[in-house]
Amino acid sequence: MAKKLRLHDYFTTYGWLLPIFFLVSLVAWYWPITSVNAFKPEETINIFAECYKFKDEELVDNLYEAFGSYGVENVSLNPYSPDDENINSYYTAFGVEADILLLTSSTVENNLHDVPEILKDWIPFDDELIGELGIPVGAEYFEVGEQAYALKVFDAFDEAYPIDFSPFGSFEKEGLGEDVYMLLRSASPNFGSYSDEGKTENGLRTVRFLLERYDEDGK
Amino acid sequence: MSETDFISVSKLQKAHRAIWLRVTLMGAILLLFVGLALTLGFLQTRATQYYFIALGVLISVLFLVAETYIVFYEIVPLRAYVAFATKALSKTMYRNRVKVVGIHKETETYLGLETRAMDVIEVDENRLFRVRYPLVGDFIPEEGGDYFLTTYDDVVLKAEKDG
Repeated sequence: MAKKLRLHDYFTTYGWLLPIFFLVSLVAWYWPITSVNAFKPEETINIFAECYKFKDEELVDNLYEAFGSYGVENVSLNPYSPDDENINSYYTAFGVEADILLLTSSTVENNLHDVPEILKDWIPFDDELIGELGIPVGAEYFEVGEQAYALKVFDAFDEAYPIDFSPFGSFEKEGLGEDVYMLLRSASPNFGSYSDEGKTENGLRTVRFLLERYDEDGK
Repeated sequence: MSETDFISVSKLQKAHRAIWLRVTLMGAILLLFVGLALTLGFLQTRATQYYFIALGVLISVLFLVAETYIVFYEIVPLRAYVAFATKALSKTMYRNRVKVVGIHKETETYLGLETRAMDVIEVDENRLFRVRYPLVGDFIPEEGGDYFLTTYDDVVLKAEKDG
């Protein structure tokens, strides 16, 4: 048998295989490595917000700096206009995975019904959680039955309301606005013992961070 | 009188062993690749993942080139040799005294064997015909040289230099 390597002949005859080898290799390496490295829910702070214009450009960096030492590797902030015709699609794509949601009062009223299957998705604001988060006295909640499920974080009609998330984003358009509520998803692993299966308390830390950042007195 | 066996029982056995050797080599290269892939997988981090993907792609392409080279240029010809030799050794062979009158330089694949053709004249019957000799040794026919050729299906199995 011929002993010399015939690489020139190989590349001349089978060179067309190289692009296929390259593509197969790229898929074979890219998919598993990026899957292994994908941010896990417990490493991510995921916020979905309905606002007309997002304003707090430094928020993501500040959250990452504040909680990087607690294992936060990724901060995902998804603000969308409530009057966007695709808002439902955005919610389906980004909202259902969010830890913290900022939703207008109409969205909350239209979706948060007194149905156990719906209510179990949200962490109720009971006295223990209110104390844990340091929610100021005078804060209002959206209640279903007798249980508070959403914290009002912007009052469109009361400038003296103790929480004002307006530095976060614009909740008014052409002079008209709605109240905005914060909801905490129970499936999130970031609310400690308040979550269905809590792994971190970074969600609680984030809510405290936001409440301090947008405290009415701190404006 | 020098002689060259292109196809013989001992060469057939060697070819069998050579096939298994190359299959083993392919397995060893595969194991090496898997080891390297696992090592890269453990070493990579989120910050370096794209460098490792590039390195992994490079290694994979080299691996695939090596494996296909062994298949196309080693195993396939050996299997063709084994198939032809097995058949040829079980059939009637012809031994003729010939004079080489023309040697072709091109390599031709004939029944899966890599061969070169040469035109010879059968000395006893003064008949011109073409035979092919497999490229399995260092045999270099001499134009004008006299040989005893053992052939099957116009493929030279054994060449003996006459004189």
